[in-house]
Amino acid sequence: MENKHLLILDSSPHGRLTDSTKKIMYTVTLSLIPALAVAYWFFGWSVIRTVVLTSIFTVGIEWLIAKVFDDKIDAFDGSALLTGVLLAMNLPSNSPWWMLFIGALVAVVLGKQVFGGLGQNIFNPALVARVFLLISFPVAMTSWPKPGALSDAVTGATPLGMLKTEGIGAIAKMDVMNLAMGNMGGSLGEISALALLLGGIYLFIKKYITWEIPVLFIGTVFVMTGIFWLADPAKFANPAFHLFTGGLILGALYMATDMVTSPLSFKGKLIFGFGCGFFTVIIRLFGSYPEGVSFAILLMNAVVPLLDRYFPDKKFGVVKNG
Amino acid sequence: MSLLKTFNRGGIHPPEEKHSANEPITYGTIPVQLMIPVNQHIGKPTEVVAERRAAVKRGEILAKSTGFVSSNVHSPVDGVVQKIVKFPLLGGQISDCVVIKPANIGENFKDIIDADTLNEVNIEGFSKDEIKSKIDEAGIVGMGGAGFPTHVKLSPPAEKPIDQLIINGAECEPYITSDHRLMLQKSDEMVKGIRILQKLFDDIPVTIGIENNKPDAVKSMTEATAPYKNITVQALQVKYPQGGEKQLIESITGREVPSKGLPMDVGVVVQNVATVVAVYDAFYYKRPLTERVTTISGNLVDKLVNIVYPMGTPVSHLFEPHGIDREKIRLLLGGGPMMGRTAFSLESPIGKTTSALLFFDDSAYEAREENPCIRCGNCIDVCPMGLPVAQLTEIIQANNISTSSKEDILDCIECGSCSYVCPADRRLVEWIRIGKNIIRREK
Repeated sequence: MENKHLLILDSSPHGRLTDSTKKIMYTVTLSLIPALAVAYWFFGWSVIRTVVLTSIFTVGIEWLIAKVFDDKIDAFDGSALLTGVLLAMNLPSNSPWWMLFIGALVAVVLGKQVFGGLGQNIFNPALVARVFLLISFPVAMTSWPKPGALSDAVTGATPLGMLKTEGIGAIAKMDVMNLAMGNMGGSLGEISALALLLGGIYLFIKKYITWEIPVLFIGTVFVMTGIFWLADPAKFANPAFHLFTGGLILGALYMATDMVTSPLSFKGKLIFGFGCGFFTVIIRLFGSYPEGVSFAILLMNAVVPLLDRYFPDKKFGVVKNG
Repeated sequence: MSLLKTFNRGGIHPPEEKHSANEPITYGTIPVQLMIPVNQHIGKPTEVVAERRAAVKRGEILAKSTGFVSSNVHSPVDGVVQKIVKFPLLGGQISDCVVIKPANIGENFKDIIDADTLNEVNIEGFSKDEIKSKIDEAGIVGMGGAGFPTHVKLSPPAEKPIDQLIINGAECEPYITSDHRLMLQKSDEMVKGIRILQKLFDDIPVTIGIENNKPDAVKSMTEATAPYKNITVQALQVKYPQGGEKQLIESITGREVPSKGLPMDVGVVVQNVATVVAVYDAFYYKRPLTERVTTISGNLVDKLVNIVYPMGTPVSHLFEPHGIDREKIRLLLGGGPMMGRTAFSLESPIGKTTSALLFFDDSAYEAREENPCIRCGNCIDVCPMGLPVAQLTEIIQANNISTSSKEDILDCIECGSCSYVCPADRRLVEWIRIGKNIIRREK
């Protein structure tokens, strides 16, 4: 190089922390391993198949988009992989491959790239795809494999589904501890609350997620369902049941805390977390769908720019004077 | 020792790299040519009074202050003025420089300094105005980096009563140790300097803020200030940018300088430790500000030093005595890595605000491309001013600056913490600087 001896001109600071987008994305992906391990324990090889297939689809589609439209897109920055794994975790492990492909296509194209790619999307890509599949293929998306079933033939509803269709009696015998461990029907990644918590705590220690959204989200669901349960235990399920079933823990720890689609300010995060919890409970108790986590998060995603704008953090040197 | 204090919002912990902390202050040799910038302060430009081929004495005025917010520049040595040229300074700005051929080329600068006579000074004999004008005449500017004329900072209007003087010994920038060495080796001089400043404000309490990674400095200053009840030393937690004026005031007094405001709005005046020593020199040695302690460090420097060179010494003069391989220099920083600027000439002169010169080769620099913002919020978390950095840079990039974001942008202290933590390598503080320029141009 001819400029070997020239001085470098740059603006300060001259030094950076070693964190990178890639590192964050891959760390978050890795933190999902405990939950995936539990899913493998209950559902077997179909879990691995589903996760690997969706990951290949999402990364592949992003790579193709990068090739055709914009070579600045880095398909291997980990964000497409994370979307793929999260999408897989939101689907039944026995989903057919073409459904996974459509899901990946919706997630990467409609969920992310049409907005301008990484960091620009308003809605969580994996959730956009999940809701798309749920509406388009309601039967496939609600035939959940039963845990422990080695063949995919044995399917049934989730505990929340049973609650919705058969009423409170159907869930009367379910053991909360068993639910917390993940021994129930459901999307492959959402079943084990404890394994998800483990990953969540790791992310919290790494400072990739903050406490506001998960605590407010889960807390709101717990308190609201608790109030209804106390008012009429013959009609409403107890709050512990609501805590450990469905996609609440996965949603609160991984989907709602997605950096791109959650608020930046402290108050914004609190309101966002509360809103997610509020709409989840409304949909679960009074909506026509048994589960409302995905819808609630997408709803709140839409108001993130408003939250950031109207609830900014207090800055230095601004004193409220009445 | 009292409890460690610090500021509330944000802050980062870059590697300290203070490898030169144990090197006592030494003195360099006089180079064959000095190139003395005539403007080393913020404010009105000076008027050059030095004439070509004229002989000058040490301490003689080369460029005269042209107003209240302006500052004299003096000759550090006896010599002959050769010419006046325009030359880039370490910060990158082009300034007129008075080129002087010193009389004692090659001599150790210590001999010149030691020849100054120490005077008995009775501070009580000076009026407040006399003290200020003496500081003004000596060309003293804030030596922490900004270079704001000190006498201006010491002259708050009557409607802003000052009840607290803070001496900034935080030295939170990595690598730099010049203030640290001053606090160790010139603690008594510093206290005398503080007494002069204290006189200006009717003996108000003085607090010397020192980051706790310099326990020896805390100890030496505590000992030196022991006889004075209203001069105290406050050890501070190590956190960048502790030495930022607004942060230091918050750390020590808990007061928040209002947005767009100055320290005097909360009754505080802050002075850097090196500035205080310069004030001492001006009174006790009748010595104007013509030299300072500079830390020479970086991975290319064999012999790390805290050294005094006459102001105007070109960087190239340091290569031989400090074992710096000229061919390998890729990054030359005037100041620390967090806020220092890259120089683009190896002949740029040392000035009043050059607290450090850092020499690095290729290995210290990595070209980084900006990636898309993933809204992780790290920049906002570390911003000591509590600014929504991510959104501000978006607004600036879209050239869509609103009135409220204007205030935010102008409040930025450019500490660089945001860029330091950004996982997407976005040049956040640079964008904010661009925003500031856009706003200033509109005015």
